[in-house]
Amino acid sequence: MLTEILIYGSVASAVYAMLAIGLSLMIGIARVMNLAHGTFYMLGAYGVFTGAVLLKLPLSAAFALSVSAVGCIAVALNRVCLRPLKGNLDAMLVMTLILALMFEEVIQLIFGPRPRPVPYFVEGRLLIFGVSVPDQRLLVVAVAAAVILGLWLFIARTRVGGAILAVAQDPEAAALMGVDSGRITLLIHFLAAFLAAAAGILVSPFLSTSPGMWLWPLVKAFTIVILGGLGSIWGSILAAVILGFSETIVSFAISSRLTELVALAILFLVIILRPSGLMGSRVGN
Amino acid sequence: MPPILKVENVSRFFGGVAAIAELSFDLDANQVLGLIGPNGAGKTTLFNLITGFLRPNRGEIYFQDRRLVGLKPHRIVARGVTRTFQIPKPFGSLNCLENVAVSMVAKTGLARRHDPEILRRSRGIMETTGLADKEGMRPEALTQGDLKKLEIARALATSPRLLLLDEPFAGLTNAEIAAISDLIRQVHGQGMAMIIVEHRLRELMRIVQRVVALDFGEKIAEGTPQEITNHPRVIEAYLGTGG
Amino acid sequence: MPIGQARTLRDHLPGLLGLGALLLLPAVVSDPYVWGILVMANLYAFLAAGFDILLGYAGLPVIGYGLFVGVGAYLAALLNLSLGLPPWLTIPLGGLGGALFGLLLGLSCLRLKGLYLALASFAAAAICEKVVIVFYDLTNGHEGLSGLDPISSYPLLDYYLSLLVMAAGTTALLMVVRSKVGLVLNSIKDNQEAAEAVGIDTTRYKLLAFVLASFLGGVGGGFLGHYTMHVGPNMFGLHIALTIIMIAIVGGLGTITGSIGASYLLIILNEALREVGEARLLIYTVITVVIMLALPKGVMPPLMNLLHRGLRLLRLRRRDNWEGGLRDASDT
Repeated sequence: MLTEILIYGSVASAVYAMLAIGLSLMIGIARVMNLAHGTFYMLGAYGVFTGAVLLKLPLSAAFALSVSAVGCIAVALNRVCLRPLKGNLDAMLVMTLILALMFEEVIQLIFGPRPRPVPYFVEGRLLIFGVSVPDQRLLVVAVAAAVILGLWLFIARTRVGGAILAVAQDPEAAALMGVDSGRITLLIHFLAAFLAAAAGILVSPFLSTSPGMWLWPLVKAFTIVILGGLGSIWGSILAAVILGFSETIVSFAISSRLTELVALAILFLVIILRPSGLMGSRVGN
Repeated sequence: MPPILKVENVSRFFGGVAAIAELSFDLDANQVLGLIGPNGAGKTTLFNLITGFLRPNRGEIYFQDRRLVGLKPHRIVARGVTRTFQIPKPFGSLNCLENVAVSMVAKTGLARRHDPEILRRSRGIMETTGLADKEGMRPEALTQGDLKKLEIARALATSPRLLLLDEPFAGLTNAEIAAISDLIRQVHGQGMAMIIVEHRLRELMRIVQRVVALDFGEKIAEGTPQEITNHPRVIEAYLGTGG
Repeated sequence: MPIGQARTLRDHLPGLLGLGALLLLPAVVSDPYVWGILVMANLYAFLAAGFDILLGYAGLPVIGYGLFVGVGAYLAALLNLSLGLPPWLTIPLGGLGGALFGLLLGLSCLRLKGLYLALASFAAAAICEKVVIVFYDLTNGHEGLSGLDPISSYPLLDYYLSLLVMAAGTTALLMVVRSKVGLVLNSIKDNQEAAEAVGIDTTRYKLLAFVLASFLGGVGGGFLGHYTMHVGPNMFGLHIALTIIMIAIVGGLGTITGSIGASYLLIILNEALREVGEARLLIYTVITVVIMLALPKGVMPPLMNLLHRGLRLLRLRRRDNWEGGLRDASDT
């Protein structure tokens, strides 16, 4: 059972890390308190369902199409719905939450309320220390690790990444140095939505897609971002591992129906007791 | 006459660094004290300590011989100590008259908004501070000088015995500074004790009776304006020579 | 309503006209089915007005408002089903239960605002929803509890009772926000630190906002439970809370009365588009997003502006005490 906890905990942690890193960038750098983050995850899953199942595209094409489409939707939402609110944080919270509900309703009208199954991307199972694990779950961990590493390289090694870091540290100084923070904001939206959509796509074969699937990943992503402390990628990864494993342990030891309660309890207690998280600082509001 | 405010050996640390270190001074009733020092000397921190926004790690603060440390900000205002902010913090969704009136309601019962007594007193303060013609305007429409006046008007509306002004001249034109100086003199003339934090020393020295100079949280000099302007350690701290 | 100005008949006229119209509505529309829809309009107006105290006046984005609705509904249901208490007792008791939870949430979230308060309140509501499902014996889990006593046996009486509750609730809230409390809550919303610096006990006023809003939430939940004769865990959830929030926003935050207008507006619109019934929430969300972008103050302030202009044409002049200080719904 220990091996199982290790494996399933890693899978959950990988998915949560992808969601939380994007959200952390969104809040920390773009200063958008985005309650529609889970929506990108849901749209990614429905995107791959549309591409791979309905249009019968090759899997890689469906994946690429889905993440780019979701990225573009995120950029469009920022331009049309968030920018006019001019940094009014409470309005932004309400707006993004209403947008999340709107997309749930749109998807429900198009695809119906029932879950739509997505086939496994890779068949077969691997035997690890006597535990048979579906390859699909291992693929999640591998792809998540690759995507996160790629993102880190992009931020650490490229000029655009440097601009992102500059805005994160001091928006005014970055503006003086000629960084267009508006474009950085759009880039962050694209990247965050890209990561969330990729997470949604990767889990869609074993969690299947449904219109309401955005809510819990959203809650968990916020739990992680607040637990890990804002603006810290490593804090987010650490917190993702903590949440992923505590949920897995609870679901093996007690009941899988309690995993949501674990995230909620952590979220509530961290906010009440230690809003600055494990590392990093409070959200700037 | 006993001092109205006594600050006794007050220290406050931020992550091991002392923002205020072993600071003591007294303020007499009806006295205007200037508080000067370079940026980061701990002047605003001291205001936060006196008004309950921060708690000292060590030391005591007494106002009219009653302990202030541990009281919440609104309790300290009720005792008669009110502060302003360096960067004005007006209530943006209220008009100017309401900005002033809201300071009074904390001391009245569950009054209706159109309590004639509150209205009369608010108007009186708007008159005193030279904002009489700005009653219905939103703070966003005010000039920097009027925002500073509104900040003082709001503090006056709490009927303080001691007023703490945080850089009332910052960012103002000479004409605006002259107007605020007149206002300060007028308020002082009615018997109000004040502590004024300010960088515009020349203008400050004209309105205060005594000055305390801080550097790195410590008191480096205390005396009359005349004494302070010639004090070698003050000159050193401001010019940064020697170090 | 600015300070220093006595209210005149003209100020009360829109409210009296509105109340008169709602009182006479059943004479125009005699379809009991429509009356049932209007009951829901009244209830949602009542609930949205309660939420307005939190976000519109005190600046507290409590998106877990469903917590109070759910607590009120379940408390009323349990008192009614197991102790046999009548609705006129269980509904106010549900309100008190909601207020207790509001006080507890307010106390735990005193230092929070913005994102943190939104998430903490959501988590509190969601935890209660899960707990209700777990205590199956008492709450019947996902199914919820059915068979509550109805409000009355007459659809017309139901309508007038819901109108009474809505009018009483919104009038009480209006009296509160037009006293100094509204001014103080606004100042806390604008800048809490500055409010403390001028001697306002922000803790007390924020708790007052929590208790008022959660009492209304609880009463609304209890009424809803008895009216539909059913309570379920979804009453704690985001969908009902968001419907309430959207009504408050469309009507105009910080107006109280806007909630009434928006609730009726959306309910009537909903009926006009009955064929697309499934898309009800979608229409609500799209309208809300458009309103937030096009009319950030909501639909009520511009409507009132028009009404006041009309009344001015009728030479029903307001006695202004001073120039320029007019600051109410007609101000833009």
